[in-house]
Amino acid sequence: MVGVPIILDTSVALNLLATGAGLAVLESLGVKCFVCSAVVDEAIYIRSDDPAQPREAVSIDTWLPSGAVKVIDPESLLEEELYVQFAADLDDGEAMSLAICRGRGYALATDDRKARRIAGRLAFPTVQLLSTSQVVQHWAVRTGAAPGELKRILSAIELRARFIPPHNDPLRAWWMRARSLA
Amino acid sequence: MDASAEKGRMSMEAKVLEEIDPRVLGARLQEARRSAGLTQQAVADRMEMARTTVVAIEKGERRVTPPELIRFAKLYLRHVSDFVGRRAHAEGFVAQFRSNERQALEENREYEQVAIELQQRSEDYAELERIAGVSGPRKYPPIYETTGSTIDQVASDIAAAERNRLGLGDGPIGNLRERLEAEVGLRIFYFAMPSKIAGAFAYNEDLGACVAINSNHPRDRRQWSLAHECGHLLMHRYQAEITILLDRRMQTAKERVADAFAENFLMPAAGLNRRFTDLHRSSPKGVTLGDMVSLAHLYQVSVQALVLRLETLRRLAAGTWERLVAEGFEVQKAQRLLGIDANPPVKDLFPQRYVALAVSAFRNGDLSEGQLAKYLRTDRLSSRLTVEELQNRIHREFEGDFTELELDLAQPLGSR
Repeated sequence: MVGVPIILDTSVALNLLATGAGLAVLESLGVKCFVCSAVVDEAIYIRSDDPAQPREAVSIDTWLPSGAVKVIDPESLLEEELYVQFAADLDDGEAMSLAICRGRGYALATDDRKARRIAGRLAFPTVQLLSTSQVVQHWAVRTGAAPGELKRILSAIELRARFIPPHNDPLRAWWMRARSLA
Repeated sequence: MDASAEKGRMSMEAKVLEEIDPRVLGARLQEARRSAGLTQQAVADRMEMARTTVVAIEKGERRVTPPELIRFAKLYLRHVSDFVGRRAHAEGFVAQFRSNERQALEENREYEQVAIELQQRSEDYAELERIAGVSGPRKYPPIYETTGSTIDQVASDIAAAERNRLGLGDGPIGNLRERLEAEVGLRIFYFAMPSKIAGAFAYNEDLGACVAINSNHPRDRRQWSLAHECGHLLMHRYQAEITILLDRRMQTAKERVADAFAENFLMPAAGLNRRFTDLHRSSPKGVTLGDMVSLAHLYQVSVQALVLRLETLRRLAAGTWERLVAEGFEVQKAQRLLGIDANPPVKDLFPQRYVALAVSAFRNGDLSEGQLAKYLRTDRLSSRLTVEELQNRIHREFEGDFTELELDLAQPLGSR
């Protein structure tokens, strides 16, 4: 998929947490995965299976013991400067994630339109971008996931995280097809 | 990557601390420090810098470096984006409150926190308007004169004039908040405050008239507080106020006249008298306690406020409320018996227009999802649900087929 480590921002982390199988999905990527400390600090909730029930708190902390996902912070002056710069236009989790990706040449997994636009405007070296749909599709192909299991994962993201790929996502049609399969 | 490449990249990108007015950044840092309850000396010790450096930074006389800003944010438990994020900056409400409420603010940091919260929400509102390229309605009347008559007469006259201006007639006002937002241009925010604080009002040229109401208070009290703060707009526009619940005898003249305005505005004498007379006519045994509870619900005021108002209007004997209290009358029990839900929670903590502007900015890619959540003071999931709500998906039947339509309530009609 990408040959470099990946940093997940909250938008993608929330979607994967909603599946209950986020760790397996991330492990299938075959590269190191990180979340920055500002993302770990964010309170994340998902919808309960029964919409009448209260939402559920979920945490990235549950991914950490396996070692497949690690917490990361800006380390160099460059990364700190980039973090502050990006924080003028993004929230802290998004800004810190992008700053570290920019500083270290990592890929950024985000579905956020504004974060992707800002990342896309950066001059060489550019930051590689991934989306929830790309990550899930990669997992499905890599593991040969059964249609029923893929549908369960996609449904969980839609229903519990309230996310559907936007119209301009090249994998939206794939998502919708997989979602409607028996 | 070699050092020269890094330097070149930064010269392209890291300009925010050079672009931002150091006085604005200093003011934000000062507000965050005060909010965290830290002295300049304590901060200097923790940051391992001289106190004079902290003073200079807060005054905008010395620029902060990125590593320093990150450490300040950690120390104050704030986000870096709180300091450098692009948002409107206006003259501080805290300073206004401080000059008007010196004693109260100095005695209690909770009051200052209310002022800061109101300022931040109001700045966010102004920033959303800036992003959308729109400005809010400002249909403020001239400031009414409050001298030359008794407090009650002044309040009654102003309430009548304002009702007339807004075309409210003399009946109960069912949608006071919406009317004040749309037809007067008040920026009205609800958030949790200490129970002794009912609300706050502040005005400046940049942000306009801004009101905060304690979301923890019961509906009737919230309605009263809203009318009270509106009274400040009409009579004391340039004097920021925090409304603290005090015994009437302890209130300042300004608070008393604002309360009298609320009483007259919410329960105008003519309309209330007419309804009371109708009740009398329709029940041979006379007006009942149940009638009073229902009438208070209709006017969205407390039963106590209604009974006292009717005492003032001489429709009930003086001392009626005191007698009811002495007899052990329980309002909530009476409301339950009548099936009245007198205390629904606040449905919208922000003005609907504020939420629509925020969602629109997000959908246009002008706000990130994290920023949207911050603007709405909520988490990501709730933000996504709010976006969904404003982008109601509906189905349309066309020649037997149902098609999904997206009804975007935040979209301006002109852009269709």
